[in-house]
Amino acid sequence: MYIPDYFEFCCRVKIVAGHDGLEQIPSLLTAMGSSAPMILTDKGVRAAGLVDVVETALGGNLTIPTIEDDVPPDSDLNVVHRLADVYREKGCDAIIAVGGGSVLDTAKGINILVSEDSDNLMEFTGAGALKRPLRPLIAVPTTAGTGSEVTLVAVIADHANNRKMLFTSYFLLPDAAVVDPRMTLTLPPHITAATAMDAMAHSVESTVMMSKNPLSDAHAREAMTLISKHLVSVIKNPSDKDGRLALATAATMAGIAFSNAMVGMVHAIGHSVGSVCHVPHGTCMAILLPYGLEYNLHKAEDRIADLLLPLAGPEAVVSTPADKRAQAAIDWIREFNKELNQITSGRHATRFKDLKGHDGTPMVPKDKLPEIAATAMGDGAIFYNPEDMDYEDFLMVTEAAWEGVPLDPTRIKKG
Amino acid sequence: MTTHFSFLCRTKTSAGTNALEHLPFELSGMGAKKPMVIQDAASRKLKRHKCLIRAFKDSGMTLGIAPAVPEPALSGSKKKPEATAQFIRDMYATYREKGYDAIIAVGKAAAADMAKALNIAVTLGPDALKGTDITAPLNPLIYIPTGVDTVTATAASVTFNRKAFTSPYLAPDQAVIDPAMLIPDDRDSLLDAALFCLALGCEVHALSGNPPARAYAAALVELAAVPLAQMIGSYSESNLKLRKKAEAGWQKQLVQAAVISGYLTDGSRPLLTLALGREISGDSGRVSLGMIMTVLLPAVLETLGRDRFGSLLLPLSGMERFSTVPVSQQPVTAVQTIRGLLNGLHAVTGGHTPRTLAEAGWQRDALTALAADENIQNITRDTAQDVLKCILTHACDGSPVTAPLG
Repeated sequence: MYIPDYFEFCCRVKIVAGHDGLEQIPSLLTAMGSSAPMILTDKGVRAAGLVDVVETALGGNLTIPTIEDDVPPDSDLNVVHRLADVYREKGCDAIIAVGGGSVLDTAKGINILVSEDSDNLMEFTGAGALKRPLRPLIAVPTTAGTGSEVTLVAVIADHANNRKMLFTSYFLLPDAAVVDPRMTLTLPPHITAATAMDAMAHSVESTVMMSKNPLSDAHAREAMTLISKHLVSVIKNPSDKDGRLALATAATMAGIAFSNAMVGMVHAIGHSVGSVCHVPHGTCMAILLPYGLEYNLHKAEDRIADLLLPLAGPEAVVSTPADKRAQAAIDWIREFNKELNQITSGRHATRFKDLKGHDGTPMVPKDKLPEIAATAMGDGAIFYNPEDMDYEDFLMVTEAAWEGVPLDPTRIKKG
Repeated sequence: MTTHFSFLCRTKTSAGTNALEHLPFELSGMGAKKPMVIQDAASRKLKRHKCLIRAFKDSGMTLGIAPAVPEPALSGSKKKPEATAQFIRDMYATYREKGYDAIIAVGKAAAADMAKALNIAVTLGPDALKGTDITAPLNPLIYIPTGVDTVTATAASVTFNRKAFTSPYLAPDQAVIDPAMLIPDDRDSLLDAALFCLALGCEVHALSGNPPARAYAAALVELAAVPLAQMIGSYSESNLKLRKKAEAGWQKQLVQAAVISGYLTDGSRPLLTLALGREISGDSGRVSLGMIMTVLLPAVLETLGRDRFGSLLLPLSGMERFSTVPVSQQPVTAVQTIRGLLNGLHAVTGGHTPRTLAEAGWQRDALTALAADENIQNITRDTAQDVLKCILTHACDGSPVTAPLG
């Protein structure tokens, strides 16, 4: 057990999970003294019929003054201000955010304005600007991946000034995260795989980082165990409600783990590939995860070896010599990606060069790799990575992930 | 995992060297400017508040140092209720008069419980202590432990004047574990805390289908198991200097465990080792709660675990041991490990600690009657009488449960 000289751990979000999770929302709001929640979502989630599922589950137990779905893929300052006005005009007293990161970021922004009775979100940017609890906010995640329902950050874009504003406070945490498998039941197999591997990357990276602690590790191990046990069976049988619940729970727990222990180079490069080539985040995480472990192997062999149990199960640990377990864990992730590739008819890619856009052109042209490496250099996620990285290192890893070949250990600079 | 669960731990944990130095920033983030410090008698006597004053020196915040809380204070106490009530009245008046806006509780559970009750009064008004539902955040409350305890200071509950309050908002906003604030605990207290945390963690990890609770429980077992094994291994250490140094290391880890144990005792799930342990240790009066809970643990696991708790062996014994045991033997090895700890402790103490309830002074007939007791049925959330009987009778003689009932 690794106990750092100093650590912090916090998750103040009540996790309510189950096949009847949505039905618990009225009692959650009543306990917080609320009875008129705004439902906030985006057009994609609404078109998928998920808001209807939420409304049906709430039954006649709540008055819903308004359902707002005008939330763009990147949350927007003007949208936050406009929806805060709607909240006030309609007499809302809480928010139910149904969706992913952008919906939740928008909900957090609205909640700041209506709780602080402000019309200027800029007053609350940065860390620690909020000093008291906000109004009730319930998060209903619709993908089992990001973990944004348990993070204390909101990123809201100010498109007029071409900048993104960061808000950080424990008061931004939702009061509750309602994890209900009905919200992910219709996700297609390749998206189920990608989002689950996003959660897998959160949990795996959190256990390897320098800022890990006993509580983040324990949450990460539970998440990994649930994903490795249920992901393949859910893709083969998408209506597996228990498996869907397990994956959604794992995503939330992985979110708790990484928001307390941070992530590293897998996310740094993944953000960059997403930014330069618009590859979905979960896909980047799946492809890059074994490379992140390979690169850090000499600095974190014991930590990587400990991953074999939650990934491959106790039989694998018992049958693998201690000095082979770290490599076995890396190999297991590669094999897992291959299996996901097979059962999604090739839509879950295992290397960047196989990714194709809607028009059939490569999503990650090889000549973009230098730009990806350069962009990754400026990503804050690298701060907690066990081994340092320079431009050459980023490029080496990105090239290997593009080609789908293991890293050449002789090229890894051991600092 | 189960098909329905919920979990909430509102307390932020910060632990380690110089943890206190982060506290002014944390309180500022909660909007607090003038915290009142509540201490138990031991902390007050040893002036632990001076460490706090140093940490707040350049913060611009004003600390108010209250007199020591009357001992024993709230939870489970039947003594000095008038002193406790008077203390709350006095501190309520001071808090309001001087404009305090947060509480820092320093000490063990007595200080933490007093702070929880005071926080109800100062946030909701003194009449709230006559009974109220607490449905919104109270004023900021920080808990700084000075040693181990088996009364869970970080639990989201408190009893005041025999009135029980339970709400997630009662739990401290933050538990700050700083070695500089610790007051050495004696070996028996450390042992009892280790056993308490071990039993609680093992039961939750092995039997709960609640993934977040299982995660906290795994950390709890790991934090308790290593110091416990080391304490047993070096029980006869005669070099006082070496022993004190070792005890200081164990205490640091066990205080973290004790803080985490409170996160699992919010009343949302029945914990048989704790419920039965409180009844039995309370009646015998000579065997500690942690000891009784650990004596009960093998029978609880074997009766209800249905052989599906092999994963418990990892936090209990570590990867090196875990990986040498065939998967099919891991559940039984986990139970053997727990029994091994009890047997080892019995040996090093010259037979002064019990391995069974019989050795703790209980007769089989009395335990059978206890299983049928209406009060026990209520406390254990209507756990079937035959299950309770099975657990208690096997814990009585230490015999393995060969036909699980759960």
